[in-house]
Parts: sequence; C-alpha cells; structure tokens
Amino acid sequence: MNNIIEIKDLTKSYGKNRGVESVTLNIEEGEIFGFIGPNGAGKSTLIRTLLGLQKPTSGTATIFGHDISEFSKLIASDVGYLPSEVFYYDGMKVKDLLKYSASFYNQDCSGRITELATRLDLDLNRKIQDLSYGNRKKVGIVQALLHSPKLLILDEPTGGLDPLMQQTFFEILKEENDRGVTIFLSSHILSEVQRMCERVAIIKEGNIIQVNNVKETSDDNYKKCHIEVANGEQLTISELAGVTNFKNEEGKVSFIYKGDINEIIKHLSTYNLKDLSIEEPSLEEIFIHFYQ
Amino acid sequence: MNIVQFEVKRNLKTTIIWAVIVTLAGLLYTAMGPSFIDQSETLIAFMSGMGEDFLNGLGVNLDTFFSPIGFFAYVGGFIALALCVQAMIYGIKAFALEKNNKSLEFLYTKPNSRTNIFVQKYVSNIILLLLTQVLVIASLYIATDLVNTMSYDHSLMLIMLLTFVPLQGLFFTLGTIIGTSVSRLKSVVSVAMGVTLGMFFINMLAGVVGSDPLGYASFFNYYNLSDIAFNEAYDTTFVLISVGLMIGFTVISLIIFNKKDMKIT
Repeated sequence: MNNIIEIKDLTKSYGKNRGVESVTLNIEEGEIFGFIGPNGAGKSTLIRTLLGLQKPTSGTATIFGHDISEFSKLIASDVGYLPSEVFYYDGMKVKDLLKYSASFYNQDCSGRITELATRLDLDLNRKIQDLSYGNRKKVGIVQALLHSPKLLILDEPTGGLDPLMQQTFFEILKEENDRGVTIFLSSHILSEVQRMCERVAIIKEGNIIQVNNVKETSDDNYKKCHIEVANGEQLTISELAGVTNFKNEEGKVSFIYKGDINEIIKHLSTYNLKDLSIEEPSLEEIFIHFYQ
Repeated sequence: MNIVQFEVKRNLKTTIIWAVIVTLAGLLYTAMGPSFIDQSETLIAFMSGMGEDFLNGLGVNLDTFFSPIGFFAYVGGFIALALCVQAMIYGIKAFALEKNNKSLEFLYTKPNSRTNIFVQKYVSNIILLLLTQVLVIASLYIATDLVNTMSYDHSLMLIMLLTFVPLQGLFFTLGTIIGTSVSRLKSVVSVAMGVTLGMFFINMLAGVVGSDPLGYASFFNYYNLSDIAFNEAYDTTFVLISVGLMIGFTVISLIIFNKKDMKIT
C-alpha cells in the first residue's frame, strides 16, 4: 500500500524550545491514523509543519510523494485541514466564508457545502462572530471537507461538538474513508481514537514513543484486573512485569496487566481473594502511563 | 485573484469613509484659502513676528503663502498626514491583522503559495489606496479651482497633489515590513499613528533647525510641499530614494512573509 504521508527524522524546534524531535512516521493510503499525546506533546507542531505553516528545522516529509516544503501549494489542493481552534473573519456570514474557501479550488463546491451544512445542522446565514464554539467547529468541518480532499488532517476535531454531532461527524468521516480518503486524526481523547483509528502513534515530549495497531493493542495482551483482598494483606502485584496503573484502596485493588494471563492468575491464586474480575481495558487505560 | 476581490470588498466601505472624511477636511481647508489670501496684509504682519525658522517648520513661506499654491503647500501637509496614517494602517493590517485574528492559518492551508498570498494582499491594498487618492486628489484639484479667483499654476497644483501617491506608497510599504515581521500586534492604529506622527514632527523639526540629515529621516521631507511650490518640481534625489525604499521595503516584506513561521499561540 502507498504511503500518503512519509516523515523522516523530522525535527521542529523554536529556538531553545522543543517542538518535535526526529519524528519518523508513515501513514498509508486509505487508513485512519490516530495521533495521541498529552497537551504540549507536539501534536499540533507536527501537523502545522506538515501543512507548511512552519518550516522544519531538519528532516524531511512528503505528502502524496511531494516534499512539504517545496510543494505546499500542490499538496494543499488535496488536503482538508481542521484546526483545533477555528478562527475566521468576523463580520462575515458562514456562507460567504465557505464560498471564499471554495474559491481556492477549481471546482463547484456549492452542493457539498449545502449537504454538509444540512447534516451538521449549520445555519449558513449566520454571522461567524455570533456562532458558539461548537458551531464554529462545524464551519471548520465543512470548510475542510467541501472540496472532497484525498487527505484529511484533523487536529482535536470534536472539541465543542455535542455527542450527537460527534456521532454525525464520525459517520461523515467513515463515509469519507470508505471512498478512499486517508485520515490523520490528532486527539488526546483516546476513546475517540480507539473508535475511529486503525493505527495510532503516541507522542510524548516531542518524540514518537510507540506506533500501535489499535485493534491488536486492545484485543490481545492487555487485561484490566480488579481484586478485593482483606485490608492489610501484603501484595507484590505491582512488582510483577507487565503491571501498570496499580491502585490499592483499602484492599480494593485494580491494575492493567500485559502478558501471559496464566502467570497473573497463578500469582493471584496465592492471595486470599474476596472478589476477582478481569475485563478489556479501554485504550485510555492502556496508554495512561504515557501521559504520566 | 480571489484574495484581491475578497480584500477589496471587505475593506471598501472603510476606505470610502476614510477617503470622504479626508476629502471633506481638505475641502474645508481649501474653502478657507481665499479668506486667508484676502487678509494677507494683516496676517503677514502677524506671522512675521513668529520667526522664519518656526514658519519653515510649519511649511509656511510668507513670500508664497498668500496664493492658492502657497496656501496648499501649508494645508496639504496635514492632508498628507491623514493619508499616510491610512496607508501605514493598511500596510500593517494587511498582514498583522490576520495573524492577530489567526485567520492567516486559513489562507496558508489553501492551495496558494505564500508569494501569491502576499502579492494579492499587497495589490488589494494598493487598489484601495489608489481609490482614496483618486477621490481626494480629484476633489481638491476641482475645489481649489472653484473657490479661488486668483490665477495660479494648475500643473503645479497637480504636481503637489500627486505627492500623496508616493507618500502613501512609502508609508504603506514600511507598514508591510512591520506587518510581516511582528508575530502579534496589539494595536495597529497606535503603531501607525506613532510612526507617521513621529516622521511628521521630524520633518517640522528639520525645517526649524534647517538640518539636511534629519530631513532624510522623514518621508514627509522627501515631498516637502513648500520646496516643491518654490522649485516647481520634485527633488530628483528624494524621488530616487523613495522609489528605492518602496522597492526595498516590498522585497524585505516578501522575504519575511515567505520565511516566517506561523506560530502556535
């Protein structure tokens, strides 16, 4: 499968301040790729560098096989970008802004604008300055999708959207993906990434620390265990390899275990258990230690 | 040319309002001219006491002041000041305001090169300034002709009115450097007013002290209306300097605009 985005050793720093460091990442055609990390980890920095809003300090990146620094104009014609915070021209009506946005592409986008606005329940005749945060986000979504791009870059896309609208938005994204659109989605809401993405990269302090297959990660190795033991019983669970997120609140113990399930069962059998439950952890629970 | 259309349409109303206000102020000044000229003897006696240096600073030459040309050499400076503030605001605003409002990110992520964005924004503001110039210059030229019964050199009047064009060009291009350089600017108007008024007072000071080097620091001195009225022509050196500066400022602004990162704020 072709790589739509190829990033090699990309570094972006702001003087002495860190942005992202030696990021290497490939995003394949047609996949929905998640990009997660805590606030300030470098997610937006990487996205903005890919979009040509800032120049890389070192390293290279290509989108559709074109270098991001040299061919930003060519790349932009097939990219839809939704920033984490949308800022447009106050005093303008939504329809005028979208018309202006459409004027940059050599195609008639009016039908698509109407269709998306209807689905997102967006009033095209309102002034942008009068819109709530959520409604501005809807303008951003329409603006990113109106020219039917081949690649969608979404930075914290659901901020401000109510749950029903998030549902509609994810349906739209699924439809876009079904027609072959590649989606690069940055978020710090892990459940969102788990729901939508096939692969996910975790960024922390400017470095990509892991790239995982979401389904394999949540299906295979990780278990969330709850046990209840007599208060005061000495536990050595936290010393076991593969145990994270260990909590003990007066005998009510919970932890995430990654490894051979027989090993942990064997270890737990050495305690006088009052209760035991084992469940599938959410992606958030699996990755929470990266945030700490 | 979609950015040009968008920018012109967006700023047309403000431009027309500004042009009309400046024109009305200019017409008011122009209408006062004949009264001044009629009372020249009394006023000459009064103004002679102010001292030549002070009058030079104000751009007043008593030998020519009481004529349509001489009177315009004085009032034209104030009209030029208003037009230069406008030009500088437009130069700064064209690039800094989009950064302030963070809407530049919208433009940067569209299929457009930065050079193309720069050129289109630059051209749109030039169109708006030209519109202002046409309205102001034409109105004042006609009004001066209508209110004055004394004969004067109409070509020279036009030459003097046309100084507004390079003056606005100089302040506009200087404004583009500021607009492209700064990451955020809290008040475009105060910066524009500060720089323009600063240069206006430097020009007055240069007239009072008779300093040539100081004159180079103020664009107003490049097109000093009293000197033009006296010499009946522009100073070639200053014309060349101003053309060079406008080109230089534009090229520097374009380089900065192309190289500068759109920072996360």
